[in-house]
Amino acid sequence: MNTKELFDPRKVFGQAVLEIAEKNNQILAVSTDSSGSSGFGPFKEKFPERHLEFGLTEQATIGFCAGLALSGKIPFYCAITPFITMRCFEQIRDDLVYTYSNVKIVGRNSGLDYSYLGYTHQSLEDITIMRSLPNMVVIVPSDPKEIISCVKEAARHKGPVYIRLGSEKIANYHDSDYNFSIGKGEVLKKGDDITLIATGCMVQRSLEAAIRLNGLGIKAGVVNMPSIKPLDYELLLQISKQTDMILTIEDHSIVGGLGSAVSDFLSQENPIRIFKMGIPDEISSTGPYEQLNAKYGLCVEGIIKKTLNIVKG
Amino acid sequence: MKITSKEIDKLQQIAKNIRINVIKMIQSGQGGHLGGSFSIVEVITALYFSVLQSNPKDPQWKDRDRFILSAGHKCLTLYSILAEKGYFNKNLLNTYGSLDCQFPGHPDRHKLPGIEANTGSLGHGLAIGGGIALAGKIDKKNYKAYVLMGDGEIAEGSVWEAAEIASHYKLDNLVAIIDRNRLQIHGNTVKIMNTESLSEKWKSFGWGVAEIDGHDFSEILSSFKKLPFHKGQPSCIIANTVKGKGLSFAENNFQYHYWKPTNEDMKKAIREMGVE
Repeated sequence: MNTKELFDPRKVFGQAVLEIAEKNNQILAVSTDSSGSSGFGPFKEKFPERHLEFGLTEQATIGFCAGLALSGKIPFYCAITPFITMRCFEQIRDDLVYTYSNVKIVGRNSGLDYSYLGYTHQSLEDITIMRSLPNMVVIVPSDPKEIISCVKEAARHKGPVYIRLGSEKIANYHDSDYNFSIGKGEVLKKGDDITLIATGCMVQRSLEAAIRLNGLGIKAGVVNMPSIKPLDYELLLQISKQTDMILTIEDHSIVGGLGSAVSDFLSQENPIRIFKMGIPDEISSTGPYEQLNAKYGLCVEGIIKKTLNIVKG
Repeated sequence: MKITSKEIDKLQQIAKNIRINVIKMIQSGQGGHLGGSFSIVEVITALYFSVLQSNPKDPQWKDRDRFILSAGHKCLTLYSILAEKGYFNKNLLNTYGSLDCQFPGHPDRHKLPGIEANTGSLGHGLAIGGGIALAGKIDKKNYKAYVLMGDGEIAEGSVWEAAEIASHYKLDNLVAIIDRNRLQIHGNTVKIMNTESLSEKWKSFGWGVAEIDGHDFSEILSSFKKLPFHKGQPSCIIANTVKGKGLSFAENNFQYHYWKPTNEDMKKAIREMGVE
């Protein structure tokens, strides 16, 4: 893949599911009236009998996925994030997590991606609620290469997995030999002054911000944290011993997301100053995607500004 | 196949033992969901002892029929039946109510062999059973999935989502059993939320429907033998039952939905049920 080429994460995801489905006939693609937008178009064409359409029935769909998984199937169920995580949260809790069903749920158009459509369609709380569930794996991939790798890992993992995808086109920054592992973070850049820990679409913005901060005399490290649960405790502990401050960056509410997960751990194991960037604890607004992100500082300039404020304090 | 009086006598004896087991468990645990556990005894006894293709020695046998107790609070009867079938040692039932025991107030498949899904929150089981039935269709298996729900439970919207999916996918290997005892925690189901007319509702969702006396083994068995009621359609058995059936002072009394017996009540129950 050319590093500058942009890819629709949903299409990359759908293609990745199709590729593992070619080798494993237990893989199913499940959708609730949005198979095309979930990237399942090619899957439907290749394996029409293994694509299950359930209409707008998110609650029962989770239950059906549980029943399918209890009978040996591996359903990948993809839908718009708030609908697949919140409307059916109790089914996820009881039918997937408590029953322990081998189902992969995939939220798409996450964060502020539905920038014009408003609060009902934006998803700012999904990481919070998903990581509250025992044994749930929560993954937020940051580029096409990582999406492909995390789909393979999710299929290998025997148990419920939540994958959070965006819809804005993204470029690759990983090498072609990169492999994602559940529970592992990744140091992208070292820096002594502060470490930026980011997830999903905020990773590449953080990298660019760190490069520009270097020119301003600030040595900022950057960590990609795709596995929100289980979290890479070893890496966090190591970072906390190398830098005095951490700034977490996510396109998600600051209540309970990546920043909270990092704080929950380090506040007990090695307390250092942790700052959080994300959507504040308020009803999110609407508007053009980049402008809306920038409103909350979730852009390169915003990350630079916040980092300078923290470091120069 | 004709239903013999010998078979019915055998089932009646088992049902009697099941009720005694339930009373003993409530005595051990000092409380339990008596009303619904007693209303389902005959239906589930007939299912496990005359209908279900399953193997207690191989609970995960791939071709087994599955039973999902969507109304998970009625689990004392399920626990007793699994013990009678030999899924585990019957003496274990005495541990009900103790710390970390294998018999939580709603079933947990990680704790006991023979439990297919973790239920308790109402309105979940039909979709899980539907998924199992759909997997059976995909894999061209012959097993059936049976799901028991309470009549209060079917006010949950998720039940109707599952009902339409099952009909859409023509799951004639899926059987919903509604324990229509007409009472829920706070009283009469029709007064709390009128879900009548059940039969017409299920038919309109594309299900084959039969209504039976849920305490009459002859009617229960003959309805099971007719499954599926219509080829290409899921089947719904509406079992008219009596909440608390078999314990005179608990019958048709919603206050025995969950029973925390006084010593006096328990003595009366033991006497009446012939518990040794």
